[in-house]
Amino acid sequence: MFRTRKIRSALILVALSVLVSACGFDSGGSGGGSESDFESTSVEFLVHTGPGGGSDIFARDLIEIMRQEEVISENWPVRNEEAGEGAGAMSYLAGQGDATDTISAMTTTWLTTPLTIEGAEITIDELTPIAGLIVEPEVMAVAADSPYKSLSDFVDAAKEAPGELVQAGGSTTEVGALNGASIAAEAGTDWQFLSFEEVGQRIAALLNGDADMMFGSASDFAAQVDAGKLKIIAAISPEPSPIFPDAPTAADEGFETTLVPQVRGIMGPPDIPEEALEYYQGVFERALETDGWKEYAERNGLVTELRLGDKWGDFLSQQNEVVKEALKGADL
Amino acid sequence: MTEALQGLADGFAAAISPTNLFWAFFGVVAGTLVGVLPGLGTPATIAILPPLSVNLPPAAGLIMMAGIYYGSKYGGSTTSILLNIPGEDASVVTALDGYQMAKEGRAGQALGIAAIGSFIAGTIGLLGLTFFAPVVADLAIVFGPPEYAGLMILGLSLIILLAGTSKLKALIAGVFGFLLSTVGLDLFTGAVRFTFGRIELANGVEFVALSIGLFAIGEVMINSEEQSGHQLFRVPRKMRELFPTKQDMKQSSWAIGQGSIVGFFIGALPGAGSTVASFISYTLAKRFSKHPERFGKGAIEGVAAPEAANNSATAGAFIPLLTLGIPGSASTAIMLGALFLYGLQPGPLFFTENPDVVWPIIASMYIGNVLLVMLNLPLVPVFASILRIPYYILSPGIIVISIVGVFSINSSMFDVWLLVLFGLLGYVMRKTGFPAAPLVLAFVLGPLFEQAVRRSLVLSQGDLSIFVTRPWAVVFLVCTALLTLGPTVTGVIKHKGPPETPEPSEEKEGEQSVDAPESKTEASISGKRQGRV
Repeated sequence: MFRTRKIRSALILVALSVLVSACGFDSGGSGGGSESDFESTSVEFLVHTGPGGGSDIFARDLIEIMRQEEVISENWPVRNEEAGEGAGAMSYLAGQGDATDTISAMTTTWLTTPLTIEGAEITIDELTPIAGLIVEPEVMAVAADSPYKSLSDFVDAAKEAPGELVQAGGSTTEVGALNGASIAAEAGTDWQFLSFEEVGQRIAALLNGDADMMFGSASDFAAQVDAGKLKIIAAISPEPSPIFPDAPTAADEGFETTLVPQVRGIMGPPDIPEEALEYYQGVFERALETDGWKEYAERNGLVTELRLGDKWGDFLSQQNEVVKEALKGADL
Repeated sequence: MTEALQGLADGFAAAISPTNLFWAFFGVVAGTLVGVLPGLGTPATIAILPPLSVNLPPAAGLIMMAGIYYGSKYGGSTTSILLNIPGEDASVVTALDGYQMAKEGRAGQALGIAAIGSFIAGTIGLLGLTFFAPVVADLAIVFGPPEYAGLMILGLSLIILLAGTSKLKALIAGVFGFLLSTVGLDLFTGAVRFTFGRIELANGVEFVALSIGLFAIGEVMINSEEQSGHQLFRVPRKMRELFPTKQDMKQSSWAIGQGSIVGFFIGALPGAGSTVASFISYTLAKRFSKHPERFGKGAIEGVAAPEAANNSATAGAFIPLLTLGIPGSASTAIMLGALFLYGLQPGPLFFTENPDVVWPIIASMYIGNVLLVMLNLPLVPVFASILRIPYYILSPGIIVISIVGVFSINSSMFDVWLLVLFGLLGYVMRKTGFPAAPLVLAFVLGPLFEQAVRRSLVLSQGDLSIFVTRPWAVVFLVCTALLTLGPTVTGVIKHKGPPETPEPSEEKEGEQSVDAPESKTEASISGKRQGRV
């Protein structure tokens, strides 16, 4: 008797385990979701990074703000499709056909990936542009005791010793890498690019002197700048960073190359119905007007630039050309 | 020092408020579950929580997230030990000896030492976090590519210590693991390697599919060959036999101490992590054991060392997060994101500007560790009794849990097929006497090694001398030389000493095997198996 009870309790335990892990399942299907009640359906929000990655954190923050500001009533579960720097997420979204309950966050990576990664077959123009949300001006950081006081200082030093200075960053096709290569090409010199998967390691390389400079988002550097460990000497974007407004832009320093901006926006499946498209555009338009969003954007140094539908699509095609040029320049 | 004590005291005062206590408890229970269930990853779980935590005060929210993070390391050992299913990346190493102990009817001791070791190491790690955070943070920053390369060379050279019957087979398995780790997107050039055009492979082979396939599925296949109706393992009935003895504790004390320190420092390095810590601590425990031949056959130190290391590593991981604002892992990156969402900015000034957030979090981790050990120890007999289930019921259960777990990571059928493939590989390797541990170790360390070497060479523009001109890199290379050349020397010394076993120790060493089929302790099964091989 005692023994059977033990077995039973153990079996229940196993069953429970299975059940709970089953809850972790994302239902992979492309549910249709009735078109009249988008508001009550829960929307699957796709991102191309793993939990903790840039897009993942941005998406979850955005959903949280929209919920707090009552722009949406349901929580939108985030789905991470990490494979291939956006390639996996793009093909997943393309496979959703006319579904109304899956949309995705996108970044400039979605423009570079189809051009650089083998096997990444879906391009951005096969998907439906819903809304462009922000442009994130990248800034240039150096160690506090660095001899470089401006972008020009650094570039001049690179001309003295081509191929010796080191820029820290992510993959060789990320925005910072492309802009670094374009600026170097314009100045007729070059420097090393040190790839790290995690932002933390890039900053560590800057702090310990392994790297001489880094292009990245202002919020990544803010804590170190406050503590006097790093300084920001330039904005690598057309407009200055809201967090570091005193840092001159590359154009102020006399560089003419067209910079690739770090953009974030929303894409939908290829054949998303018109009503759904309009619904989502309304949601994001309202979201970007809330105080919660404005405060978030200000704190993180984001420039809100709402672009809807075709305007967003045109902007993307135009950026696609910029990215193509930059990739050509970077020899990738 | 006094400042830290004052801060910690204030932190405790805040952490024992009912709200904070509740969320610490909630966190560690959820964490234990996450650890127990394979496939339910820690980062993925923490990531879905900010909506909940944002409605809490910052300290309570972070207390909960931290609870999940270190709680999962406690839970991860359970399925590793009982079913050979690594419930969590950092628990792969625990399976090596933990599962063998379970087979011998010592599942209770293995689970017990895992909980006790985790508690001690977690607390030691927290003491380090409390009193030495700024010092360790400076050290973590000094660690550049050449230093990582040195550390990884040390780790990879330890493969030889994981050898079973044949050093050659261990090397072959290791090289194969290294090869597997090269699959996927190359960060440095953007090239896609060995994916055969499959986008599912662009991020590399899924580690969970690899480890669960090799360990759990391979084991089920081997056992199913032998087993009929009866249960596979002996499970003691007496309560007393379900907990570690004094002798066990004594045997494990060094492993726990060593694991605590190794884990703490490796955990504090951004980009190394608790899986690396557990591997290195395990191999060190084996290297310095008087009876290395027992490792892989149910040595209790082989459970204590990695479990200690992966728990103190989590305390270490909070150092770059809290003192530098630099997350070293996906889980800590999410916690950083949550802090941002609260309008807080961890960085060098965080301790001085937000003591009301930092110290309650740290204090709560001490409390959480106590909660975990109180929660886990009474569960030991319950968990151990799972093994009373007849194997014909248990084995399909293991397969189901494995498949569900692997599928749930990326919702990918492709990963399930990988699981099947690695299950078959695990079976063949067991049959042919190739140990799985070197393969997994090389798979984990390989990419870190490759990247560190390539980064170093970018820095030095191809000059190899960078590996011998930076002090810490040299330290690791010297350690590597001592540890790998050492066995020959100590082997001779041991030979002269009184033999512990009837056989000369060297021959005995030749028999040790990690996960090899010829486990001597399983007399009946291995007898049959040896006959067949």
